[in-house]
Amino acid sequence: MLYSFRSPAFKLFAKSTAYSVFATPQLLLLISAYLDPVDLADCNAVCKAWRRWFEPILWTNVCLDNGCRETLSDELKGSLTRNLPHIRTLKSFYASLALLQVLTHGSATPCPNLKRLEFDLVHYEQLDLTLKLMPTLLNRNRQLTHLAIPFEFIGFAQEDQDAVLTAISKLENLQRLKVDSLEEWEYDGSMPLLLQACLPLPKLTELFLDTNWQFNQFGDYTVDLETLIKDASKARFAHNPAATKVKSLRMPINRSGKSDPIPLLLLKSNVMDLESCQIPWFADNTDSAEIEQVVRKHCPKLKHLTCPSFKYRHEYDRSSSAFLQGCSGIKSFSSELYCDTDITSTLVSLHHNTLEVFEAKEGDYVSSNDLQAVLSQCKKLKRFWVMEPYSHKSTISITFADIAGGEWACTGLTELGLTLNRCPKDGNPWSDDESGSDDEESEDPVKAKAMAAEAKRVYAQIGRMEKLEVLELDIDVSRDTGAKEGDYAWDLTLYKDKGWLRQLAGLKNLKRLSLKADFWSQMRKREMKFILENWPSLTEIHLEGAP
Amino acid sequence: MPVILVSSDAQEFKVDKEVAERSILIKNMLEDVGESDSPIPLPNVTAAVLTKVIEYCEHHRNDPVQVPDETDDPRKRSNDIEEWDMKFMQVDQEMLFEIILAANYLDIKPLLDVGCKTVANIIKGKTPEEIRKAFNIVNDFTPEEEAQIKKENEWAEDR
Repeated sequence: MLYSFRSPAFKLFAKSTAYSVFATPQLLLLISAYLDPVDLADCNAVCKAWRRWFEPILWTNVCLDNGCRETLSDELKGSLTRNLPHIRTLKSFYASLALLQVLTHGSATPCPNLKRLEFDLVHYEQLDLTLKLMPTLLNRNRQLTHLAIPFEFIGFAQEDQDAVLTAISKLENLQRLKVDSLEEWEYDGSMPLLLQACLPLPKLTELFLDTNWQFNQFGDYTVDLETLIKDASKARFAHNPAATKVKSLRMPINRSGKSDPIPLLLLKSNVMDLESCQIPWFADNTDSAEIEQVVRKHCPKLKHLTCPSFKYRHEYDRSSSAFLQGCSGIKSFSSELYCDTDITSTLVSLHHNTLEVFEAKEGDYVSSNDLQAVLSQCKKLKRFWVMEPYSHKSTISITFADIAGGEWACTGLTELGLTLNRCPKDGNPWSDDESGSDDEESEDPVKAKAMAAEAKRVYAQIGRMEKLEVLELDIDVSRDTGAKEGDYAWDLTLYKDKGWLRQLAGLKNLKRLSLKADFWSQMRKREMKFILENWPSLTEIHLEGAP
Repeated sequence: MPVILVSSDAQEFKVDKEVAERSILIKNMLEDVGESDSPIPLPNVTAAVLTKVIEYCEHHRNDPVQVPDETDDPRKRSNDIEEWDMKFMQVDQEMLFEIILAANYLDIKPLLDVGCKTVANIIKGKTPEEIRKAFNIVNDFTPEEEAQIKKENEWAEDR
């Protein structure tokens, strides 16, 4: 497209200092680094000069997720074609035929700068046609460092899929390979072929196989896996004995209950030097002690563990336990599900000196005892997060009485989300108290005093976490806890003997504060003033619900 | 020992060496020349701009050297400008861009970053029309071109 440098608008703007700044490529890049795609798109629509500057930047990272489109509009097709040379990252939910056609159009390599290519899904009705284009796309983009493809492109061990695997085996620059699938697939022998293709790639350090494969044919491997993995390893180090090894591994989640020999063989393999790993599923007949030994011997650098789940599947409990025993110095542990199991106590007792991150994507609640164990022993803990399903809010539920006792050691924590629960311990005298906190007169003064002292201790504990950047407070009223929303109304005020905001004065690094209505319903101007004066780093306050 | 800087309009500024060396350009010059009290000419910076730049360097004279952050995420945050810098950057737009050019020429990375963040913050959240207003730019697209661009950019919107 031609731009008119002689237009009056351009002349006016060209005289300004702003023009000199935007027209200097390195300054334009520096400014753009702070802008989101939405901002860049707006810049792109300002005037012709801005379009000339911002279009290549907007098209550096392309994400075609919104709308999950199957087809491309003519306009998008046109601008995509025009901007192919600028694209470094291309993410698209669908590996649609229209998109692949644009990417493989003509005979030359249209996207010399493309480094990251990520597809999530493919349409079944388009599978045959897209499969024919995939090898071409990959063969023309050997510069790729990151590739994510749907399982359908490599599964089923068909001729076309073989061509894709062959193309993958030539991606000499590949650092991360991700194979994804939302569906559950019957395992069909493509796993050995995939390993054969990708393990020899000298720069491959991350291998993520995020599928829910149904492993139906274990034991029916028609190849000798041990030899296959050994040969792949030989090929990898043939040209460069010091080539990097795979540092991060996620194996498919296995729901069949049948034994899969691959995970253990991979862990032992020379190709792996794992730093992070998703705990694989091992068959029931695998000896836990053997897993533990293999981990200890072959994965000395393993510091980051993720666990697909350990609530409903006992097998994961066993392998998680074996991994935790075999590893030394775990830094992060993330799980899909949280629940009270021995895992927490094993994790805390063995790794409390190194644990920095402990999180679960779904969890009903964390018991106060577990919380107390984690908070009082893990000195390096930076993040402790258990998310409520779907809401991404923390649901670490604490009972005041349980946690007010011990001192918390994790003063380095930067993110904390707590669901508070005033439920007293069994047999506590005020458990059947029906009155809200605003008619304290009617309460037993002894109970009220004890309760207040407990609350003060809890907030004082939070207040000692001076590194805290994110604090979310919620209330647990769902369970039969005896806790009432009104009980918390005064907690974050400056009222004498019933407000504990002052205990939090030390949170100088707090950037984000999120509160349920009950915590702010009684907050007034002087509380806001206190917050603004004491928490200079605060940039976000989320207040939820209406009082 | 103080250093004498000369602006493009021939004004002389006497500043501490430590302050002047916030500029990597000047630091390198001084290292090349060695001990010398001859004034350093800065032909790309006017006195008005140099005054501002020196004010910045004075305030930040004791800052530790910035380590380049090597985070994987290329997208950076622009809402972490410290209070003094924020006030310092409350200047008219001409001066803002002059400061950026000077910081770039003089190689003062932290000042350049603050300047670019400030510009990004002016742009952020604005519609194209609001951006035009903010920078005094005339729209030279035809309505058809505008419609076309809107469609082309659709993928980047509403995220």
